[in-house]
Amino acid sequence: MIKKLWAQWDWFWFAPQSLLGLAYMRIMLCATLLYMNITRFYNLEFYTDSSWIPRVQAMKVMPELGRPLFMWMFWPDSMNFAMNLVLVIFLGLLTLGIGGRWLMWITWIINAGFLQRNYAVNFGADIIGALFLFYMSFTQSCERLSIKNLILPKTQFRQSDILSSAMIRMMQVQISVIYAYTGWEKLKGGSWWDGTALWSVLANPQMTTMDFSFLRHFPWVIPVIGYVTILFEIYFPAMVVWHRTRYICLMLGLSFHAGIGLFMGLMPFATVMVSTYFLFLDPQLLEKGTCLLLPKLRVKVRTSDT
Amino acid sequence: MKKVKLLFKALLSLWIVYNIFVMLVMPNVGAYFGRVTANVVTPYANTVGLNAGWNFFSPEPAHPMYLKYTVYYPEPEITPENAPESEEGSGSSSPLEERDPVEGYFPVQNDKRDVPNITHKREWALMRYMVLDAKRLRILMGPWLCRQYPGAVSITMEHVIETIPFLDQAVRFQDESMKDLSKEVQSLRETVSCQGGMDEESL
Repeated sequence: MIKKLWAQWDWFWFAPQSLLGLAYMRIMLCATLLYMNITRFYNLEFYTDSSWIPRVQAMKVMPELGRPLFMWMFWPDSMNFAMNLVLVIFLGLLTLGIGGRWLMWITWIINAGFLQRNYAVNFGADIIGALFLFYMSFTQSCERLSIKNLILPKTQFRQSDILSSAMIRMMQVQISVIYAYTGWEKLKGGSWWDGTALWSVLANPQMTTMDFSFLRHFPWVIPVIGYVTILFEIYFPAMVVWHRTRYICLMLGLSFHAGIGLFMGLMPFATVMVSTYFLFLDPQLLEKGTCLLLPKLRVKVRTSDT
Repeated sequence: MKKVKLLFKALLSLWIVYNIFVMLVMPNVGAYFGRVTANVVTPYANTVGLNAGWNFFSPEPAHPMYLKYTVYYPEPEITPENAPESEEGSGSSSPLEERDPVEGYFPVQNDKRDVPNITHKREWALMRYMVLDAKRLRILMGPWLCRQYPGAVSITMEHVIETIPFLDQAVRFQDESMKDLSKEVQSLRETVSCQGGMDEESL
């Protein structure tokens, strides 16, 4: 019995997997973080004593149960420009598939340093992006879709090692937990039960990129989208596990995040969340899709695989 | 080699169980499991970034809000040196010249700055963080605003919420604009002195 359980556990967490989905996720996640860190050059003063939060207060501003053991920001504020430049270069390299675990580890540390330096200016994309960068830093994320593979074609692509397999699974679990929690939290709100919560979001000009007040002429749309949102979030873990509902669930998520990105100006948040979807796609489907999308690569992959 | 691999898998399995426990507990850390396991869970969670609550737009979506502030300058002091008869030729910055209070908003309303959208999102996140606690306004926001307005004596900050009308109301009064149906509510008001002398307070 124990042997059987262990075998199943071993298969679920440690069995070798294709690294193509992970590579797509790496490109989308690192490119999003690259964009966000390039824009940080406009806001470098947010991370200095001339901003709202002096360095000595950086830890104290966090809730007591949320304070880290130490600050990852090992550099003085005066080096912010240089450190952000390093971060941008590293993220650029990782997007192209150059580097590996160590480079991603260092990238994660620098990024975490900035997030901790001014906790109050972080938003969803910062927090979730950093979390997935942490998990990804243990994986062979640069094995596939690397610019190196175009220059020096590989004879064959490796499958994931034990650590990468475990981390791919952990990221799948993590995104499922995030969705489930966001759904559960909504159930605490009266307006979500009432079906009108989305009206408060769409009619809020601070949250949207266009005027949605016209929706009051079609009010039934609001509760429909609101309830679908809650159902999608709560049942994401179950729907994504079951192969029959997996692609419906991912398509729903894609349209949900496209809406958030386009109409709420939260594109980085949308792309960070959607980047994890590649981990749920059938590797064979991804291989076929890759060959269709990049016909030039098809030759390389074929040559290198044979 | 096989034994080393097995040992590695066993250790990794322990971490997997621990990490999943942390990711389930941390978003609800104030609950029973969170309270009793805080010592084992929070140091790790807070260091790797698992210390987040996944409560986007919940439990209730926020209404439009901003921080309105008024900057006050000192009353002109009349001394023998700056008395009106000796004012001649003293230039435009006469100490007798009264400066009107300045009103402003954070984040800046109708922002014309050429900055990326993310800057607005960050400033908005910051404002929301500040208005959650009056202490934050006194200790962090107030001193920052004082630095933006050199010479100010005090700054009064107000958290203003412009309520969004209920959907039913918006549907019923379709001819009225959203602005007319909205109400302005002030939920917090704090004044800080820009000249020091206040008791030191911690967050």
